[in-house]
Amino acid sequence: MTRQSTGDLIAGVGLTALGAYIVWESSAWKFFGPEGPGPGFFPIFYGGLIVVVAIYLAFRSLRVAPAEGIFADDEEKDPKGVWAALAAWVGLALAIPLMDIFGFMAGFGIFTFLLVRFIFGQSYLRAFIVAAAITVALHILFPVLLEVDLPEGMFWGA
Amino acid sequence: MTVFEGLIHGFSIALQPMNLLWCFVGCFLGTVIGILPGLGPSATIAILLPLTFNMDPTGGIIMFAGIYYGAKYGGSTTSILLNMPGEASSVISCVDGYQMAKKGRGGAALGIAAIASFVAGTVGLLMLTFVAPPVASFALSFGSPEYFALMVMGLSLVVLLGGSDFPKAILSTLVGLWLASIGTDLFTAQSRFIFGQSSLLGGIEFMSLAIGIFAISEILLNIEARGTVELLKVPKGLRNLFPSWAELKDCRFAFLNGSLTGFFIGLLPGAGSTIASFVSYGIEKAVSRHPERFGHGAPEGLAAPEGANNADTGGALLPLLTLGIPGGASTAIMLTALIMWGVKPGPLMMQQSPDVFWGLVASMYVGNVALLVMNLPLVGVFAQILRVPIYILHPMILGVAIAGAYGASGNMFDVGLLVFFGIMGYGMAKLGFPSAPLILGFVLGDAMERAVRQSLTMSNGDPMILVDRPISAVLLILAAVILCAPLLHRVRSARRIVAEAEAEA
Repeated sequence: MTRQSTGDLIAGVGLTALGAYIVWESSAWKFFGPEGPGPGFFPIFYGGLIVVVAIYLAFRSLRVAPAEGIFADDEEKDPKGVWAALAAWVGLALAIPLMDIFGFMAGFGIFTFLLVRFIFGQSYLRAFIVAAAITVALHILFPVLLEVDLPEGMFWGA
Repeated sequence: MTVFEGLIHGFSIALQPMNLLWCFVGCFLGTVIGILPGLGPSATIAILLPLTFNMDPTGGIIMFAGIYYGAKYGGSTTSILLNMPGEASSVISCVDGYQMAKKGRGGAALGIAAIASFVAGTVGLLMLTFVAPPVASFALSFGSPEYFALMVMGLSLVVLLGGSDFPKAILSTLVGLWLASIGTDLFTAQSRFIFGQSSLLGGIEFMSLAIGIFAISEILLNIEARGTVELLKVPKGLRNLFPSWAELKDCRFAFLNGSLTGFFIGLLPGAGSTIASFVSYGIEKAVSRHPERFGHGAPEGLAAPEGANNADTGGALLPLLTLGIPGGASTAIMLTALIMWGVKPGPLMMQQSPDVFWGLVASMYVGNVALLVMNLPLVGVFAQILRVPIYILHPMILGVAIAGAYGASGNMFDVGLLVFFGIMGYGMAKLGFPSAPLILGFVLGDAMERAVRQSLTMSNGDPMILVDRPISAVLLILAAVILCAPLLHRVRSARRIVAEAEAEA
């Protein structure tokens, strides 16, 4: 089984579960009443379709291995790239509570510093300069020039 | 208002200093992001959307349209000089454009791309100008059943053309419909799929979804690719950018082919400029007296796809402006922007918002000229953008994306959703799920549900209302045919395999 078909199998199973959840959840709402279709009417149809198509996808992945797809290409690629992308995403996810607590400048600044240093492999000094310059530039652009709010954090926010 | 009166009115709007400025800003930004591989017009428009909340709708949509078609001009530069398309629609331009550049005709290739884009873009616009009013008049007779059927047909086409894997495109669309259902039901105030989060009662913020799926996931894919590129020499001097007379003569049919193919394919939801460029290239090669030259630097092999991907803009805007139905990711975001500004795209847009409709159309004529002027003498300057290190560019885009998502609602929950949709978009790309059907499903989901529920309320629950009315019946039959097409193809393939096996036996 290729990595593409493994991915399809996981996606098929996951989407089957999602479709089942949609059908189960929407079956609790009114399907049709005297005033017309209720809130459960539309979701039951697409939820059911998701289940059918996702099951087909899962079964297809067990039978055949599609030739095209990014996962198939990845087998020839450097897996470090995938880890770098995932690490960047984890960093971004962790930056959200930081921004919530310390504000955009601190949270995004730390994230940018780590991104430039460890994902893009630049020196500490360059990472610091880039992080500081970008954070300050965005602060000037959004809250100052465009009057668009950025997260202020618990300590600096109102 | 006749077409000519409308156009004159449009030019009086588009030539106002502020609107001219927004047109140039849009074209400039479009060219820049077209040149930058990995950042498309959908992501850029999504990122900039929150910044335009307080803008005049005419200026806002003029700028977004500038980004949309400007990106197509810019996309060819990297195809020709780097053999790396800035946009998906410029992939096929690499084939002959890069070969021309390698043979020392890089300047002429850039010139042909710009001229083809200008000619076909203008022809596409002329067709939009003259076809839009009758289409809008016809659509005035549409009721809820017709709109539901139209959306079903549109989404079916998106599914058919939106990706190489049919089930995955269907699943993307259906998940988009589900995401649109999250929140409070407008008919009954029932909260749906909110997972106990009061922040979801108002539904998923479009900005978080669009920026996450397009911008964040594109950056993650770029980080993964870690590509390094080597730029071919940019020709200096305007004279070196003009193709020879013989080259222009070779491209005569390609300009026409690109214009017509691009416009008509642009009309189809889900088809988009990538398919338009490939089809026009195929037609050009098929009718050429020298097909053997294709792939080795044939000017017409560059002119046809470059023309098609610009003429597509006029075609793609036609269903958006006259029916309120977007055909692709960028037009879906533009639809959201128009609704956000209080403008309702559809058959009445020409009457209710003539300034926005005709101002936009006229601005695109101006923008096409501006892009021709920008792209010929300034191509060397634009190419320098590629020298901006990615360790500066990517954090900058991420910062703007976060600011965009937060600025839309002032809620950190939406930034969390942005990050979630970022990894979802990345995962979709890795697993081969197309993202445009998801966005279209999301944008059309509410309207589609409303249309079907209104139709069934009108008929006291009788579903025959959807097939009793001729327009809706035709559209639903077309949708069924579109959805069955891949199945028929599979049946035919299976029968052929069986027949071959029997013959061998």
